[in-house]
Amino acid sequence: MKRLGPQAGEWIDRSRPIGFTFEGRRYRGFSGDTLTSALLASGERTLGRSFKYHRRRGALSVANHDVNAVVQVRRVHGSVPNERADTLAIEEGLEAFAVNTQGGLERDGRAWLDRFSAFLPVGFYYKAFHSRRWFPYWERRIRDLAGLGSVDLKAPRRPTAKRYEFADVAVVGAGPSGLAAALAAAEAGADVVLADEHPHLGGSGTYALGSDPAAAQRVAEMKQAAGSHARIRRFTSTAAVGYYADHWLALDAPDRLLKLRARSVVFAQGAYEQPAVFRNNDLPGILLASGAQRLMRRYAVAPASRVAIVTANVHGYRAAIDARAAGIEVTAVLDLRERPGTQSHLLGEMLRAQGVRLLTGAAVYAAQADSKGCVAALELAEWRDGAWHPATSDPIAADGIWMSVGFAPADALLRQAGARLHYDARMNQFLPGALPPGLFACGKTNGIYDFDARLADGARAGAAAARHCGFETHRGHEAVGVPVEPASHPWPIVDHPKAKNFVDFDEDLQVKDLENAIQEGFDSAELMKRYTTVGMGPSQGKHSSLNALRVLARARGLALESLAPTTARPMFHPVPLSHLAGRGFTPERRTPMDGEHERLGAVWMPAGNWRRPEYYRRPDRSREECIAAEVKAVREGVALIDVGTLGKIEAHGAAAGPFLDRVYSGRFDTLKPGMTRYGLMLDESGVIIDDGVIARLAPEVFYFTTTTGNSATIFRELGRLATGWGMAVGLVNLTGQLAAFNLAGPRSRQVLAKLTSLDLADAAFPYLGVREAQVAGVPARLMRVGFVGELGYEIHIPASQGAGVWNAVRTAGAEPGIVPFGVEAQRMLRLEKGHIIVSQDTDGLTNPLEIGAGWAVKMDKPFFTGQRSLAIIAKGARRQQLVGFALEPGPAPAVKECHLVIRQGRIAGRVTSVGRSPTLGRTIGLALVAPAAAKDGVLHIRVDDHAMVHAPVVPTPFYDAAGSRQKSGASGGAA
Amino acid sequence: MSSTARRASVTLADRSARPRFGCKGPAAEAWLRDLGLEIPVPANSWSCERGDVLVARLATSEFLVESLSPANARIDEIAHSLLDPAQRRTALYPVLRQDRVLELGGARANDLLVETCNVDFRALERGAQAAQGPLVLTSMIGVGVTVIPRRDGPGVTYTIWCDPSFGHYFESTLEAIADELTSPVPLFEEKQE
Repeated sequence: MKRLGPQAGEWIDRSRPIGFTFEGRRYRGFSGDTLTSALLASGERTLGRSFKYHRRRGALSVANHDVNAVVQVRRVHGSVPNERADTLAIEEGLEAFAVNTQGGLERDGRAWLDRFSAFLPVGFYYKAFHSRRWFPYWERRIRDLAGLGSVDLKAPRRPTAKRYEFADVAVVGAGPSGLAAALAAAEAGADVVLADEHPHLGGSGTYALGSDPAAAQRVAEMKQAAGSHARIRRFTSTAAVGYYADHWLALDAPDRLLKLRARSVVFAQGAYEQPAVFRNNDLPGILLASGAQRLMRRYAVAPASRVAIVTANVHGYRAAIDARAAGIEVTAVLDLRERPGTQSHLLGEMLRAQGVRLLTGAAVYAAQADSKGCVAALELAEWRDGAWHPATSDPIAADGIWMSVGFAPADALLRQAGARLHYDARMNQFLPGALPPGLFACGKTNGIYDFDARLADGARAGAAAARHCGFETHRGHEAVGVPVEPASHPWPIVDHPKAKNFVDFDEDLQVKDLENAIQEGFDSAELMKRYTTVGMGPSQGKHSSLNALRVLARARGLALESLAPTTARPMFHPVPLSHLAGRGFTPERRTPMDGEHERLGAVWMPAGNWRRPEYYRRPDRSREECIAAEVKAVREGVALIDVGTLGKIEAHGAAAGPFLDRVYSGRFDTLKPGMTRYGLMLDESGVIIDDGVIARLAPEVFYFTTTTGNSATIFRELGRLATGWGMAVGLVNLTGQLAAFNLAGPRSRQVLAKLTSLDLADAAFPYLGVREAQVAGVPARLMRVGFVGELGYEIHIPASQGAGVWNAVRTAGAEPGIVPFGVEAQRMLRLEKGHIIVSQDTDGLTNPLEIGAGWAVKMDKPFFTGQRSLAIIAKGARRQQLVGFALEPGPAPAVKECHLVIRQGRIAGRVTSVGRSPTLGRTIGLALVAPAAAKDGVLHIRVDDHAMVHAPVVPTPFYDAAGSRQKSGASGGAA
Repeated sequence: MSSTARRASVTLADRSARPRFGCKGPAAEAWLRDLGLEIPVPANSWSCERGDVLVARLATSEFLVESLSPANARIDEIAHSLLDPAQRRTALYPVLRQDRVLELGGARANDLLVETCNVDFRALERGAQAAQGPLVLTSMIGVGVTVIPRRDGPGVTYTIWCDPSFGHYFESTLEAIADELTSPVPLFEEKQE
């Protein structure tokens, strides 16, 4: 191999030489070279090792799809695994190493696996390594053997923020038909995004021209026009890797993922040239003809000095012409067809006249390797009696075999978009039928390979896409005929008794592997794919799916038309994980008192998407001691907790009461203004989904709270229900707009009285009352609720004044020794009272009857959500029951939430809340258990070390069962 | 202005302190009209009375009224009256608006928007006016927002309202992105042929 002289339109800049290393050896290339082109230009042919058998592999497509030439790249800022050499641009100082080798590419210590391939058939893993005992061992061994590079955990994070893009028309693929489509759409007035996975526009128009100067000139003109058109935005080195509903496309750009929303999409991605299947068709030096043309035209690299071309279409003959033009000897052209088409015949005769050996009805039976493992010769096959047979002629010497036996359309995005493709037996290609609205295909995807026809088809599709967006154009109605000479051969597969005729280079799958899978019953495209992994490698079947289907069709005696190919899911092309990760957003909510908590020494915890103080640090005190002190302050003095995270919603209008009656299981239409009531919200199956306190501020104004994590969901659901029920209720979400805190403890009234003129006496402001008044000069809503089982006031104020009132209350409470308390103390205080926490003490199946909340369900109402289900549930036996338990004082293994309750050797429930009560001096908890376990009177709880803790079932509340403390503020006492 | 980050090409200014109020309900539009405010007619649109008071119609029957000046006694007075429990009115529901409000501007404002929101603001930017226009109710970086693009001299500014509880996250995240956009770290640029 060698570097050719300057080529028209070559991508390399010969004035900028670049030094780099590969496998520790120094090489030189030019700016614009990929690692593949620079290595081939330097005479290297082996670029990697295969995934399974560690066979030598070289370049194949040089089109962004060569998954056997994958390298680990070391740069100044870190090491990156799994870069594809055929797209990796070389840069000064770049260090690259082939992945998946042991001891280096040349002396790969795992090359012996190739000799043992007979013992590693498809399905081998499933059959050999299913033992539960040995599976972890084998998994480690296999993963080690199949390693693909290593992740550098010290590599600095580069910004890879995702970005949205928008366009009227998105054109995917910037080859001749794509360029024509983009220009037609833009000329119609559409804003166009033109995306192509390669660094330059032009696609096959830059290499597959067969020395046609007129076509090359036309492509150059279109590139110039598209490059300068004001309405065409060009994204090069950007692969479209996924299609999503409503014309969203995922574009993998060099530094990030782009999310493109278009009003219409033109798919002009062309077609993937398919390999011929014959023994040793993977030797370095065997390329797709289009890959060889790319190397010659784009990178000025001669991929061989003496080449044989195996073809079944006119493109192979053009490749032969290109090879000769580059000074490469064409030792033979083997045409699989016994009667080549007219165009092929004409070009063939021209080549024959130049001394090129032409063979028809001929294929490669096997490739032979030289001492370095690269292709050196080929054995011929001939077509007889409907099959390929070894020919008797001598091998043909060649250091390159180029394959041009057919194409598979790049239809992954089309399939993802819901397009149905059918197999055209005349063209030997899948073709799209009617496409969903707004989607258009053109060029090779439509089976159109003639240059002029592709331009016409592209212009038609571009104009039609613009018209779909409302732009007027007279173009876009023309039908473009398919060519007379098909580009694909129906059976480019040659059997060989010694196999190694690879269908899938990603996964080292041979013809016999597929046949064995079919024989074992995996005889549909889906089953065969999953069992053999054909098409599941990094190239996602771009070069293997069609031939695999052909093998399946032959084995089952079916026509290919009757088989449905599989659809590659997004992303159907390798995408760096960093691009998928993007920037990463984690919305966090903070209450207006957040800064005050920080100053008070809060230890933070997440609660839904809020951050809340778990507890407040105290000098020389442990976490438990701090929490216990906070609990004590509430029970014996006065304390303050931020409850601004609760959902806060208003319902207005004459229908508000009836609406809440339908939403909650309790009765609220009869709630008196100035009072509050606890409410449970259920879903249609009677399961508890939320709870809160509902206050009636005025006859037509309700104000209610939801749980912290549910506020947004509940507000949306209420809006949906109001609309669905046709009820004229005005809903206002005040969750973030209001600050809220709970002033609790026997001395809370004394503190609050200093800040408000409101009469706080029980008679004027009774338990469960709600009032609107000024607190510290700020308009506030006050609710007397038994939040933590003590005299307490929940105070709601505008968020902007939250911190001021919080501090005013702390100042007013200084003399009684007010302290802030956090979520952990709140949990313990509420547990002592037996108050449930929805979604902790309940699960996705818990109904009110199971937690003893039947009192909050008014079945005599005309309707509420979940009523009918509860009526049915009430007639049956309980599935589970929430019970309280208490351990005797003294040392015992720690019981934790989610510890299992065991009864007669079976799981009978779980602990939902538990903790050591500072007030009661013992561990108390709630458990959701089978009714039989509750009846036993003792719960048998299996704790962390498998020990069993026996906890007597006790009634709840654990503390102040009569509720006298919260109702009157009088001293109650422990139950 | 509690936070202002001035950069060469992206500006972020905190407008949270502006006087504002919200209301909704069947009587809201008539009530606002009786106050002499100019009400935008289409759903999801805004108008700006004499360049000083912005009235936004959110969906169909909810309104956001905001002074563009840092002080406006009239708006304060209306808000106070609206929120007073003693002055509740039939079919008019007050909406407390304590929003975190940021004003985004600068030549590269759209670069920030396309990294944070899936709405095509460039399309809105072309038709942006100083006294009226469309508004967008959408989500940015996971937060529900109201966005108004408004012609401001030669450029366009985007006023963004979000729930105050998201304020710290929202502002600090946008500031970090704005810093990144104006830092020497090279952005991906489309290549020109």
